[in-house]
Amino acid sequence: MTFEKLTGRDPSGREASWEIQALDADRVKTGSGVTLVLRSLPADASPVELAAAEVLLDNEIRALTRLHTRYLKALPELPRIVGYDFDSAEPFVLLEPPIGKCVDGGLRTLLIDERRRFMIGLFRALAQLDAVDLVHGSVGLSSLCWDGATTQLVDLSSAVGTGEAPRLSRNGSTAHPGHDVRAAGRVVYELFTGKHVALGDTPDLVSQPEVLASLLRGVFDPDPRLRPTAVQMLERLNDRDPLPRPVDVTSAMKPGYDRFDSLRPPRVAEVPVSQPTVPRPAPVPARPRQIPLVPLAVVVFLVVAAIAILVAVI
Amino acid sequence: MTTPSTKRVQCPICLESFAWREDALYRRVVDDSGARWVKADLSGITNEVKRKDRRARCYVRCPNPGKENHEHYLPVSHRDHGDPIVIGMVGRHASGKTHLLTAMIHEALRGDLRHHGLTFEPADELRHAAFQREIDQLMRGNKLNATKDLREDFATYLLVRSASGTTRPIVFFDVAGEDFVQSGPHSLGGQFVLGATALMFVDHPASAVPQLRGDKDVDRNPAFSGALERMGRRADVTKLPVAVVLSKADELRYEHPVDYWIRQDDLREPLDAAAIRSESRDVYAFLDRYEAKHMLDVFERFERSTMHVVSATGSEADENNLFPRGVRPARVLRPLLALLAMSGLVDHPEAAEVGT
Repeated sequence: MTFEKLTGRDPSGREASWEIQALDADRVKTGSGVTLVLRSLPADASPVELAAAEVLLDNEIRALTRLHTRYLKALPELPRIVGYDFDSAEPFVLLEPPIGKCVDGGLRTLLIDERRRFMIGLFRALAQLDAVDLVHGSVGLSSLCWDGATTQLVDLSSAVGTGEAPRLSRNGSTAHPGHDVRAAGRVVYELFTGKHVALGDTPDLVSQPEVLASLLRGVFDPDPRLRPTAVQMLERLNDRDPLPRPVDVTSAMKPGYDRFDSLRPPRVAEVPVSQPTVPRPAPVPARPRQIPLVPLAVVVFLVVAAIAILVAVI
Repeated sequence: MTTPSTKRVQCPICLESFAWREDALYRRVVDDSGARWVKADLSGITNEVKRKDRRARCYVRCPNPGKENHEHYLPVSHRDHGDPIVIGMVGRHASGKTHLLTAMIHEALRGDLRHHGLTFEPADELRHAAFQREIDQLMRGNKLNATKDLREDFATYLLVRSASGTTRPIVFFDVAGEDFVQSGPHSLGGQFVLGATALMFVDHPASAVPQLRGDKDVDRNPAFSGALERMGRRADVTKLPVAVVLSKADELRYEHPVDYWIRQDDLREPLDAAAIRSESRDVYAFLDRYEAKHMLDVFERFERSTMHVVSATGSEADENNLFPRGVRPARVLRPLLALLAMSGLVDHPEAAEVGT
């Protein structure tokens, strides 16, 4: 078998090429003997399907390149990009293979400690995505792999930036990390109970053991902002390993932001003249001037007493 | 024949003013002996509607008072509406000006700015026919040729109608990057900046932010510096509306914060000066991080300016000068919308805040 040359870009955006040999539909072997996953557009697809597939591929490359540039070391809980191309007739993303096996078939055989490690891996992946403003968008058993020690959250094709509207969704909602936490909650519930929770359903936690009910407390809150964060879920799981800190790109751009703000000061919001919110005390009506009675009584008493003493002396 | 008028107009090509006279109208004829201008005789047409239709296709010859330019003609509609908005594209060779202008005009004529009350129509049949061929070529996925040197003429001439019923001519100049630094008689190509009412400064990542990929810094932008130097002779220079555009942003589609803006599809949303400022602020900080001093300098020189990321084609052309998956422009109308808002043509309260 011969090797083909695949040209594209490395994760930093520089031009790169690889010698590859197809192994099966989505796996290739490089000239150095490494097996990689090659994901590309479907060959037989309608224009509409092709456009959707392009968006998914673009999402995946965007999320993976962001993880690569923002984290200085590889993250075991998330996939790793090797290269990509989005300009040619046949765009692709080249990835390291996922660890272990996809857990789509269920996880009922996990021991208690394995189950805890599985959940820690899942929420570490979400915390690491959240730290670089990414929302996975399709957390589920089919997007999780497990090698007996580590969980890996794969398939970032639905990932978008926090606060952005997914391009293939037309309902106008914007991505929030709380959506991932809820989806992970469904996985955890199924892990404990073996019962599948449908996408829009909220499981009944009251009837569940305290360990599960307290772990998932607030996870299914209708308001994603009120759900626990992935970091808070790790605290509930007593995970003490520190999370890697991503590169702060905003700080690298801060001098530019400051200079812009001095050139074009932000518009000051017109704040209406504030009205006192606490009612002022009603003015006390002026009372008619009165002669104080107590001092008068004292004066009268003293005068009477003085007269009495004077009479007695006389 | 139309009654002769004594109204004076400024020619956008030679920048001289002259008395507009319609006693001699012209049309372009192409036959076996080639293309030439001939006088149009409308005197026999008595049907008013028909006469208006025929007149709209005619041209008036500029008397070329300065005698510097070649003979040139203006569409007769030039004096029918208010003063034209003259938008000039400024940028070095291969900066992406022509592809940007072509994609922009294509979308504007398609009606993509109608949510902002702006509709466009060609007002110069002759030049637009040539421009439409460029649009068609690009939309078929073919890379366009570089702009020819020493082009003195404008690229296309449209009418833009606003929601309030205002109609203004809008003229776009796109000359070769080298023409901004030519001297002597060769300097006519870039002289439109002396009469432009709004400008779009365009550069692409390879020369604007070479540090991003570890490439050697490009220490000059002769097109920018040449245009700015010539514009320095105008008293109103700092008041011109300016859009500073990082073109070919598809090359940066995975770079923060370009990755966010290039995917934004917000053209149908109401004009929002804060959103335009937010993009300008992000692009400024990004360019500042990679020391794109030429683009930053342009932005800072003008009192009202915005910054944008655009992609006219969506991807690079391949070795056959084809865009293999077709042309997919992104955000090409945002700079035009910002310029028209700053030019007072967008009827929205937010327009007064754009670029400030």
